[in-house]
Amino acid sequence: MIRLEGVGKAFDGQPVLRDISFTVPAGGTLGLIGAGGAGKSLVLKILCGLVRPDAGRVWLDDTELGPLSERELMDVRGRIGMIFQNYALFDYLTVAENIGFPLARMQRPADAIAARVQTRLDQVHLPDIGPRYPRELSGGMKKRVCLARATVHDPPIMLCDDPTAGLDPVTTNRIFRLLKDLQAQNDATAIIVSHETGYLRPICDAIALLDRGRLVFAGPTAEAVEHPEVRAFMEGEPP
Amino acid sequence: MTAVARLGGAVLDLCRVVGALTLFCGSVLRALIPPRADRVETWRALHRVGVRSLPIVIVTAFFAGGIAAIQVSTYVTKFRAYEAVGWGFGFVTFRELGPLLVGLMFSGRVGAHNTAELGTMKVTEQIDALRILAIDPIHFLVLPRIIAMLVMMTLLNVIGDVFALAGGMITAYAMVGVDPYVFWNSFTEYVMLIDFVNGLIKAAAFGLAIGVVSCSFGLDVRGGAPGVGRAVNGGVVVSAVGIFVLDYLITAVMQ
Repeated sequence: MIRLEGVGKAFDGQPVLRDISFTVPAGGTLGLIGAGGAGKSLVLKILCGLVRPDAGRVWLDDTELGPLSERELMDVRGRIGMIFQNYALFDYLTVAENIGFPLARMQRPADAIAARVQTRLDQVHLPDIGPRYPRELSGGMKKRVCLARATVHDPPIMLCDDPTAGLDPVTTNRIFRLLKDLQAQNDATAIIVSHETGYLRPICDAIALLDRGRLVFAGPTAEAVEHPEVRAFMEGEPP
Repeated sequence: MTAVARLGGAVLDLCRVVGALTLFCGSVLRALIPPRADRVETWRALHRVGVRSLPIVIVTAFFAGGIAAIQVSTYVTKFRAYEAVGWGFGFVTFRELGPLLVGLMFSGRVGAHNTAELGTMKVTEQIDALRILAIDPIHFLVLPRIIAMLVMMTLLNVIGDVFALAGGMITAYAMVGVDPYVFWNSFTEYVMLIDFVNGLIKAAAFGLAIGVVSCSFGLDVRGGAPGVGRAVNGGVVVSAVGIFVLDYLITAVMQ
């Protein structure tokens, strides 16, 4: 379960998020949409404790993040799989080392790591690229590797920051299907930030729309498509 | 008014740099209790910092030795004090010229690379990815690099001293005609262990300073690729200033 209650954040006195509240039930998927600069990525960073909010409370399952120290937050983050907008793959590690990195940090045996990495590579349809380096991959391949790394330790919470930015429609479709499959496999609670509203609708139970730091709507997908501002955003009309 | 505003801005910038470095040193010191530097990353950093810097340190040290020998030779020829050339060379090179030049080269080569690497990791969210994977960047990235720079700068200074000695000896023979045997005798007789240790202490201090400054500037990058460029530039400048300030202080204390 993911829950935000009255979350606010300002940088240099400028409010970037104001009074954000929504809940994603365990195993649910929320699509977080909004124009660039609306604060979507910031919401994800607050959820994984990379940024502390100025106001409000945040829960991941039964854990409230606010009172936790940085060391305690580290433990909570171990339950999160995050896909970054800019891939965030480690340049100096091979693809296989990148994917196996979370497991290596958990000190799992090398052969178990290798087997799990190969399983994930097969699942993202990139079975032979383990020895290659991220710089040798296309954008779509990097996204899939990022997806494999984010889910290799079966995290119960998945946060995806624009996982299909800059990708062609075929790859976009493939990434969203993979996301849904891996989420279903782990029964994870997920938030997906994306502008690809057409792809989001079929895989999300709920949609939330942010506009300049304010939550315009948060509710079931069926209701979202009826909401005038959400519909206007999905149809590309200016606010 | 503009001049006052500029002066005020420069003072504020200086305070910002000093403040950021102080806070960064605090977090590094906290990470040392108990010491938790990542072992694999530390070996990797030692290899990268040491092996890749070796050629440039050898070249720098060889010519630094040669330069010292040429400078000393001017007076050696004038006063016909050929037996003093090894001492003069050793005193200048081991105490001052060697660590200073190797430090500046090290800062330009390793420090700048380190700042650029950490800065790029910051702007491409790799640092955030580490934190999401429950890894503290200070333990995983910063401590191994600082340890590597401290250790390798000290070791490279020793290697540099050997090549500086060779450079000095060859130059003294080629340009002033000082017999290498005379050079060596003068060197071993008058250059004390303290001269060598003095250089080592300076090298270690410079390595530590370059490590702290380059990591701090790298992790403090803001504003994408241009921010990385600014951080590299700032890191090299602050490291160079730090090297000269430390050199002054250590020289004053150990005089």
